[in-house]
Amino acid sequence: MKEYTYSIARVRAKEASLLTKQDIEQLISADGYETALRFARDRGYRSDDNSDVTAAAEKELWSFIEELADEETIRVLRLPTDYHNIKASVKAVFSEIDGEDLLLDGGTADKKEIYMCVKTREYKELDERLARACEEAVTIINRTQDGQLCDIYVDNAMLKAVADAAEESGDAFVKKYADMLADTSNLKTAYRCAVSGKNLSFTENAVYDGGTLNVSELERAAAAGIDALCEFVRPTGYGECAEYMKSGSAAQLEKYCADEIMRFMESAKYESFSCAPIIAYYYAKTAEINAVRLILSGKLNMLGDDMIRERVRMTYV
Amino acid sequence: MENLGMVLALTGAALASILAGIGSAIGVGKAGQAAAGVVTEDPSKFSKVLIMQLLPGTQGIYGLLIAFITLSQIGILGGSAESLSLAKGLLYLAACLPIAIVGLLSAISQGKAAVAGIMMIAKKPDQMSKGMIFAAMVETYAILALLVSILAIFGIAGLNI
Repeated sequence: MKEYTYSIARVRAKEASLLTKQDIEQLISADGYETALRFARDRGYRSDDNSDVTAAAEKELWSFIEELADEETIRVLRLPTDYHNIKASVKAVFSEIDGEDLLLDGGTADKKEIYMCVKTREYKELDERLARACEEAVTIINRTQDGQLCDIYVDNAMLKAVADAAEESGDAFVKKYADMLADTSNLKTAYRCAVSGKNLSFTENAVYDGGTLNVSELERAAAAGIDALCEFVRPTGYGECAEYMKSGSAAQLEKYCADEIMRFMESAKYESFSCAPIIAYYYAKTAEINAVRLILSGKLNMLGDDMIRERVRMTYV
Repeated sequence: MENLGMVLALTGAALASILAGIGSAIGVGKAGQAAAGVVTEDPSKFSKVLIMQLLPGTQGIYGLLIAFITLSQIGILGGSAESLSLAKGLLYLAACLPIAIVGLLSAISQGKAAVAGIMMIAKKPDQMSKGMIFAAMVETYAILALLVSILAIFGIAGLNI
């Protein structure tokens, strides 16, 4: 078993400076963008060149995480970024726009490398799996011109890659995280399929074959409509989301899924020796950065406090 | 083989210091890793985490104490070593075992409790005393073993076998 004692102690020390629910509430009820930004700055959101404070925080988070754990452990955290970059690159290349702003740092492969590979259709630079995903995504777009099909393929490839990386790591917490990621993604996909009245063959293609839910039943339920889907979901561990599905609130369903993963992450609070707290800290800090970004952009666009509050997800502390 | 008693008694003293020492080294080492982690992020917590790091170190000292007493009882310390009967040698060896074995295991366990306590200090520095109590609870069993070893060693000296 790997030693994480030093890393977890650092995480614990850092956790003390995560924003609490009260901090987030204070940020939401701040009087205007400038006040909110000042508050965020006071709580550690700073950037050297006055650029986006949340982007600076993200960069700092990655360099912190890289110091804490070996690549094998944090692979599950990096993979979603790779696949996001594939989707963004494919879309940018095919709609002939400059897509560099859409790409994210922190993947296993360099973001520019992925972009160039999609652009030149030369995938040798990438590792086999990513190369295959890129190639297939490009082929799908070429064949069908359908961005949605491409997204479905790439998302499922991402979930598979995360599940395999979790299996390789052999850590129970990481495996459970991969399962939850697959489950929540499947619930969201099934909901969207049900709402837009997709048939069974489309649903079967869209839903990822993995996670803890019974996939074939989920697919059938989603193809049969919202009511059947709610019936299917209710007895599972995700029963609460049937309510959101029924009320037709996609935003609330998204929030529920994110909160559900956060609740799972909270179980790492009492763990002192495995890699769980590192993963949980990454997840918590990312959620916090996203919340701050959402609030700041809400404030900048003069949105009402309640409208912002509705969209901010649960925080870790 | 008339010196076998002496050999056995010395083995006991050696075991007490070796095993308890190993336990403490592991415990203090683990706690040291956690302490370094906390100090990396917040150097002002150095003194607090240092105290926690030292807690698993006591078992090594207990082992040393028992080894010292045994050495002086059998006369190796002080240079008055006489031949020791086989039975007496075995008794000294047995007397050393409680602190040797309990010292090894309790120091490792205490190290883990100290790690958890150090992490608690990282998040809630005002709860330090509670963290210390949790780790110190493990000490009880090291002290009990020390007591048994001391009583046994002093008891053996008076035996005429």
